[in-house]
Amino acid sequence: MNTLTAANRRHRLGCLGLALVLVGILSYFLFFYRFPSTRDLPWLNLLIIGLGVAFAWKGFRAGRPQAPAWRPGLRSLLFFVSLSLSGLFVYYIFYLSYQIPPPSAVTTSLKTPAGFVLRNHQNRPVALSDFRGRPLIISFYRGHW
Amino acid sequence: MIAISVDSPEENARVIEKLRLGFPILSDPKLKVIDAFGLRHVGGMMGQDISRPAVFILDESGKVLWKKLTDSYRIRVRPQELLQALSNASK
Repeated sequence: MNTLTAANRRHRLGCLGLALVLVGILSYFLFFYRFPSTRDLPWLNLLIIGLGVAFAWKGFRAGRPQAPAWRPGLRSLLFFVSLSLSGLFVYYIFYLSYQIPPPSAVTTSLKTPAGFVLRNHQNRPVALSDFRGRPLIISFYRGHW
Repeated sequence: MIAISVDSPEENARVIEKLRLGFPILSDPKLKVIDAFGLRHVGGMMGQDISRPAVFILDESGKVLWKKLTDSYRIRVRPQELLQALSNASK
């Protein structure tokens, strides 16, 4: 009875770990991404995710010999899913998001861009010359929101 | 301030409303302006060509005063950085 209770506790530890990992990952894209201080280096999310992996590891390792046969399997699953999701997040943050082309020669040597006319969000034409006579910020987005 | 992306005007209207943007997003589906600025990212979004993120400040006569290209598409120009660049440009 005591063994089962302890196993359940460890099982819950694994679930808590996975839940923390999910919260750490999802909260980055749903909330923390909006703020430069938590977007550029997602320290808070990495902290939550690290805590989640630690819990999942604790649940995976604790008292393995006494646990019923099915329990280690479930705890292993919780731990490895937590670890895999964390790995994917770290891969995205520190590698995938850096996979953009280096600045081109056209960009680095650009002095005065040629005029253009594009359609705005109201489908009306807007020309670069419309802004002549005042400073203009042009921000290029990746799109496909 | 204006923004430019490959998305359609309808999609840009949706984004402006959703994010409550106070500036227009211009549609460049054929990447003509994006190419003129040398920003094409070949196959950058599920195999489709898009723009590399970048910000430019042009002066009153249309000359480039300042530009910023980040190394990561997650990391964009911070508002303070932009304000500082504008302040320096107007001196």
